[in-house]
Amino acid sequence: MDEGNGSGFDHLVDDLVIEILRRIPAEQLWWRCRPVCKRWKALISSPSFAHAHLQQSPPTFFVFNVRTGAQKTQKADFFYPRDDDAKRVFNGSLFQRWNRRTRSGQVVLPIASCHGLVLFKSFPYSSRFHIGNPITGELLTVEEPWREKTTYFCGFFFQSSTQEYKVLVYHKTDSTENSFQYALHTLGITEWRSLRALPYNVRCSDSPPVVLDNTLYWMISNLSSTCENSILMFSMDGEEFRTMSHPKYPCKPGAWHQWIKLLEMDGRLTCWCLVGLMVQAWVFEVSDVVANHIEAHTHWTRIYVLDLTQNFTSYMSHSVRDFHNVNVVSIQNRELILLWHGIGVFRYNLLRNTLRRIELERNDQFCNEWYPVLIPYTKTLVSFKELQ
Amino acid sequence: MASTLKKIILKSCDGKILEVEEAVAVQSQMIKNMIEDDCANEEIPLPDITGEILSMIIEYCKMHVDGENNSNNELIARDADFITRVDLNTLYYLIVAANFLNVKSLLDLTCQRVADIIKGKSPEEIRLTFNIKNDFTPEEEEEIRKKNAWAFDYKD
Repeated sequence: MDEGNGSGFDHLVDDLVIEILRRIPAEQLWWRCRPVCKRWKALISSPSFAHAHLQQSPPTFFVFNVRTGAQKTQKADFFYPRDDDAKRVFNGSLFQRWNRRTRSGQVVLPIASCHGLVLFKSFPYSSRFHIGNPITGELLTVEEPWREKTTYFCGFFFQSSTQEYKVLVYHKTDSTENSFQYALHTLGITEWRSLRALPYNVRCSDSPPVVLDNTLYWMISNLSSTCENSILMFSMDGEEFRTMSHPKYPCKPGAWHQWIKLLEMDGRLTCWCLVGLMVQAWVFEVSDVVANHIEAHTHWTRIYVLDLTQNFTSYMSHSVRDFHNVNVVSIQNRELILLWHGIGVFRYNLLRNTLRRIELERNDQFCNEWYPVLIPYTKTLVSFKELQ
Repeated sequence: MASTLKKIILKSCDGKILEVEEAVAVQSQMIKNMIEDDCANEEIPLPDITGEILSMIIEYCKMHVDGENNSNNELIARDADFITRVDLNTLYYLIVAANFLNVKSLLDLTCQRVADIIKGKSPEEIRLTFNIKNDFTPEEEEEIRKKNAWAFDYKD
């Protein structure tokens, strides 16, 4: 085919150029399409384009793991699905730049992602969050609200009614009754704002909240939960917290709640309980959430009972038989993303009941001693510049 | 039987007259609206679409109507076969026409094809392929290059 005679394309109206460009992955748009001409640069840099492109971007993820290197310095290793171009996004990007900048032996680690913006924090300790888009290089620093106390991150989300990005955190107070004080920050607009103190804290380090219909959902931390109050909900618009129960099944509070994971699937809240390689899943009928106290177990419908033992057989070795380290971490395109510590990342297709291992860049170093963290991510050109 | 089907008459900008079955013509949302508004009883003039492009679009719409009972994979394969036969210049006219006639699946197919052609190309290759003039001053180009410099692994 003759590709060198596209003389007409310069005459396409903006809407049609956008229709073409929004189908191109974010990193190529930023690094290769933006420098083409002034018109393309202006179109690609506009917030409305970033939004249109966001709708089109397929979900992906990255995995990282911290290890102690020479002289006890900490180092983060990143892994990306090999069939995705994501390694190009991160290799020369924020993480390396920030690691170089901190210099104090600290390592900058991502803890959450929303619309392609990645929120991260310096470890072992820092009183600041950093939020950046690894593709555009844009970066923002947010001071934590409580200098003297450890701040626990629990959510980074986009509120569509106000078009704002927000960060939700809590810290533990000395009070015996409602000992978890929550606070909210709006990117580019306000200082931290204190919300309610609650008797509950949420489990967030290994599972970000599900964000659906302007509501966030977390499992409540094992120590402060009962079956009736095992899920915490936060409505973005009303800024109110509520609790509800997990699906009804034989449960030992505290011991079993750690196996429960909340995930979004097809725009609905689903609850996944994985014990060993036995999986049960329920979907929540959200429309029924009206009353203040919800008899929620009646609104959970069981959708899956799966035994993954057969699927995993070929990946078992004589030395590795510990399935308690298998975690469901995300659902993308009707596939469960499973992270098996020390072994790898797997996709389980719910329609075909097939399991396949995801080839990761630098897979060779994915060794037993590692406890990697997987963060779902979407490559976008979203900017928070216009918010500031 | 075929003769009893209602025909829609389309006239291209170079005067070509094409008779199209209604089921095929309504793949175009624009024509569908005209039929619903009872404005499609006489020939419909299409001022910016040549006979050649119009024939291709009708071929595409016919393929989709005939293939309604086929599997999704078969349709995808046919789409791919249709679109890879099209050169860039024709692709441009197809995009404009698909947009004007509001044939969403064809607009998706053609725009995706152009996006696929862009993928993997350097800025200079993109300019050459689509005959786009580089209107940055050397200073502006240097500025963009600097801003992108930290992404050192993404070289052209």
